[in-house]
Amino acid sequence: MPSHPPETPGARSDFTVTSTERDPESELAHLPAEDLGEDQVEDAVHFCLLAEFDIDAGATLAHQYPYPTGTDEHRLAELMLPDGAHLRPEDWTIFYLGQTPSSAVAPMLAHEISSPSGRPLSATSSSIQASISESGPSDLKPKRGVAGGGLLYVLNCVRMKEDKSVRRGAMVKALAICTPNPYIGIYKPLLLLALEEYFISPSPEILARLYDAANAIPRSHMPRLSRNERILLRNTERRDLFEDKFVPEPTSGTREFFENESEGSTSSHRDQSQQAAVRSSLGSKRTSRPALPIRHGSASTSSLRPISTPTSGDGILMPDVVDSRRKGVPRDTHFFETEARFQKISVPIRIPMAVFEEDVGDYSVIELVQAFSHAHAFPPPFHPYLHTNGPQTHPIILILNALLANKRVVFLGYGHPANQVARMVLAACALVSGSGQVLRGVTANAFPYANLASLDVLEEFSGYVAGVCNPRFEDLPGTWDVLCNLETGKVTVSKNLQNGGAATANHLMGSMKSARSSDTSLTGSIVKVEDDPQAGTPAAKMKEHSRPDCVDNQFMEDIQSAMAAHFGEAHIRQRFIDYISRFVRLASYHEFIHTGQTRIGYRSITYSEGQLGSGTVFADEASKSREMRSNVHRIEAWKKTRSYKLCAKDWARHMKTRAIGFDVQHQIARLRLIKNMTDGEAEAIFSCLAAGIRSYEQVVELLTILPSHWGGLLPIANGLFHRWPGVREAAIEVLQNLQQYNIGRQAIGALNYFHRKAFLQLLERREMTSAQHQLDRAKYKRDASPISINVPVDLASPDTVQGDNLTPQEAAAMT
Amino acid sequence: MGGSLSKALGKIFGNKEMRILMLGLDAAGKTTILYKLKLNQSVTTIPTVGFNVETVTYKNVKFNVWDVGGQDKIRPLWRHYYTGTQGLIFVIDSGDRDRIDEAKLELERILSDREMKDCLLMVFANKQDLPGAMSPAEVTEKLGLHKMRDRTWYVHPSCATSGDGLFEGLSWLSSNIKTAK
Repeated sequence: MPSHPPETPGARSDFTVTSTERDPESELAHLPAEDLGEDQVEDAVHFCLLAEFDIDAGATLAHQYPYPTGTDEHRLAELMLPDGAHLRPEDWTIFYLGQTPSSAVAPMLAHEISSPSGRPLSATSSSIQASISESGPSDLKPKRGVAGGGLLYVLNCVRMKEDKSVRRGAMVKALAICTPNPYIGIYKPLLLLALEEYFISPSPEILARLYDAANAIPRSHMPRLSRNERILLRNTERRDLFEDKFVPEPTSGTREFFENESEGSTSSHRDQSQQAAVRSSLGSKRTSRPALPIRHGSASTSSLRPISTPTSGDGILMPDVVDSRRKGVPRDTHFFETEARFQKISVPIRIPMAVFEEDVGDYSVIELVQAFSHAHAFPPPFHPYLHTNGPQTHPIILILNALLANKRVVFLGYGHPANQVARMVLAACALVSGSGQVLRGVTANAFPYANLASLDVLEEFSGYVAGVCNPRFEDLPGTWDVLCNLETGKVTVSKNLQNGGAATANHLMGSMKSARSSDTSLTGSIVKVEDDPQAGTPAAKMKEHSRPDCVDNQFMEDIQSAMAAHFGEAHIRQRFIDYISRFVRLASYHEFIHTGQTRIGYRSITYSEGQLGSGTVFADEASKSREMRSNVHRIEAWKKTRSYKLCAKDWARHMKTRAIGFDVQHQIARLRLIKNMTDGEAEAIFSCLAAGIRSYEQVVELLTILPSHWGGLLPIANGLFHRWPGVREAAIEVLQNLQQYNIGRQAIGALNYFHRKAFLQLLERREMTSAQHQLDRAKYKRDASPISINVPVDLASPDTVQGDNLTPQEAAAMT
Repeated sequence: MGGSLSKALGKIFGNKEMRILMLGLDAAGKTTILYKLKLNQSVTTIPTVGFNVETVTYKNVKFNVWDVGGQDKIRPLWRHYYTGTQGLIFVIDSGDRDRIDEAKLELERILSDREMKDCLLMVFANKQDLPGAMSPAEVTEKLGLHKMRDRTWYVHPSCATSGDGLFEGLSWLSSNIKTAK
């Protein structure tokens, strides 16, 4: 078939020239969309691309919709037609746009209009004007797909069809969508349908239809969960968490909904006519921007229209609400169920609810661990930040260390479909980012599928993780520091890797020693820097002996036995999330010990005389030295990376937005780990929890650190049995506070019978005594002024927690 | 360690390994040659997206043959395969007189790369079964090989579908690799 003419190459090169320099600061400034509430505004799909392997010319980008991305077309085509695409009927690749200026969408063409002056030609319609004023301040932000503006994730489906009737017997075509949503997997069925259609009738109109269908997937009813709510959802296997959020409230919700609806109906007519016009002229006028006026709200509601037939705004009020409500309640609240319509086919779509910005695509951590679990002794030389347990470092831990240190990690799957190497890369990113929950920055350096055509881009990065199918990469040691071979399960560290780690380690040890004297004075009796026998020795010698008690190896043994016991993917991911959160806490501790302050966590202080502690908790000195020994080198390596800077930024933001005003994680960790806690500390912790955790946000934040796989509310429930009545009282109060909310009731319900029973009994006993109090008070009240009664209840300071124990005289005296 | 051991054994028993890169314009017959050598079967091929690589053992020599797609737009990727290549098999469609000049240009471009300066050149004048196919001498002349002074080169007629001439080509490569070393 004829290849389409290249898309105005002249114009394209103009655009790439204007692309901005990569500005690390602006990248740091880019916050995850989840916190900006951005994706309500943003279109779900920004571009659709079609590539084919032209039998005369090779990999060619045939169509781009709605307009050219401005990225190098040949590179796009190469990424869409992976090595070996001629060998299998179907494959998938994943890659990103916006990682560097050279792989970015040209800023002029970024999806949202950046400024009125940058507005393209056809932008005269009033709806565009409206959309500009609507999005207001967000215009100042860099746009998705532009370097520094956040990435566009590309999911690409490639198919090879043998056909004796065409020259050389086969056709290879690929169709891709570019979206800012990390859950790219939901578009798979649409891509398959559209590509199938394109094989039948190759026309650019298919791309327009795919674009419209993908952008019309109704998402307006999708509940927006806060970060902590998402963490809770992720932690649980319950299928009904936050169920109430899925039902639009008939009283307050409908009004907004229908305003939207009527708006949508007017604008959607215009959109359709515009799109029709553009489709017809697509071949000639590529720069027109047809679908721009489709804001998210209108797009989704207009697509709802075929389902709810009446067209007048008033008429549909009742049936639609009932309809959406019935549709809205999901079988499993981990997913938002909706549907897409392509041509006349409707496709059920399940949007995962507990996804974070950098948690891209479908992957399996289990798959990754299985592929690289054959322990093999690593040969020297050793790099302390990679070989954290010498030759016996677990391969998965080595991969993780390499990613933390931002080294160049390549997954090679020769003979494997491209989607397999992509899944490995995504899983590796998930390991190090805590499935997007803990660390950021790794996705910006990830190339789930790459090939020789990507080498130019890869060279711009000092560290990355890439998936390739071409064994040529094995022969190009200049392209990797760590090579993970899917075929053999072997992880190889490049001999060329500069032993930069050794120098930093020695330097580090020096600083450790010098810091030692100040440490003791700084933090009093609490912190004692462990005397690491390995610390001072040169890196080459230091890791010759692996330690059997290495915490990482124990962790991997745990993971493997959990996998053998058929724990699911969610559980294994959770374990790695915990692991990487712990890493950050250790890094924060390390930083605090050596500099006296930390940018990524609370200061590490232990409890003393009524002052609550904060920071990292260790069970005992022995475990502290073991943990720090495994971590100190990779912490130093990580601290030099962008991921660390982002972590510091996230921490600063957390301190501004946190719901609970103290280091609650420290307190819970103390309750969990410390064997002989003083009664005074227990009381301080519990009364602080009772006073400081009342609002919904606070309860949710507390529950995120009490996941069910760690026993849920157990550390708090154990307070019910404390020998001090004050602690028991406070524990009851914490649980009572939790009980005010659905989510808290569910957590309490998950406690074992013994704890629940104790809670109920104590509650009853307290109610009886407080009834007695009331009686006493009432007697007393006849003489005292009535104002004094209300005072202790609302105050949230720790002193008032024991309000119930106050004698009436004391209570009166307080006022 | 394993690698060095097998190399030592290879020296004793005369085993050799040779890295071969097979290039040529699209539809010249590279993939057909590769699988004829590997499987001794004539397979129907479709255009190669990316590359194929196979190991072919012939007369105690292990040939590691890389066959890279030849379409116009993907030729710039060839250069990534140059480093470490000991022998280049350049495949010519002897029936395609129209593009022999294009082939000549591409060949010159490959051989001008620094990484390829010590590499042997073996040209298959392929598709000899086609009526009116250029003879090896004609191919030699059209490619201007006679002007090539400081390179060991050889042109051999071949027919990939029948396998005629292919092993002779490998034979020449294996017997000349020593001198190239």
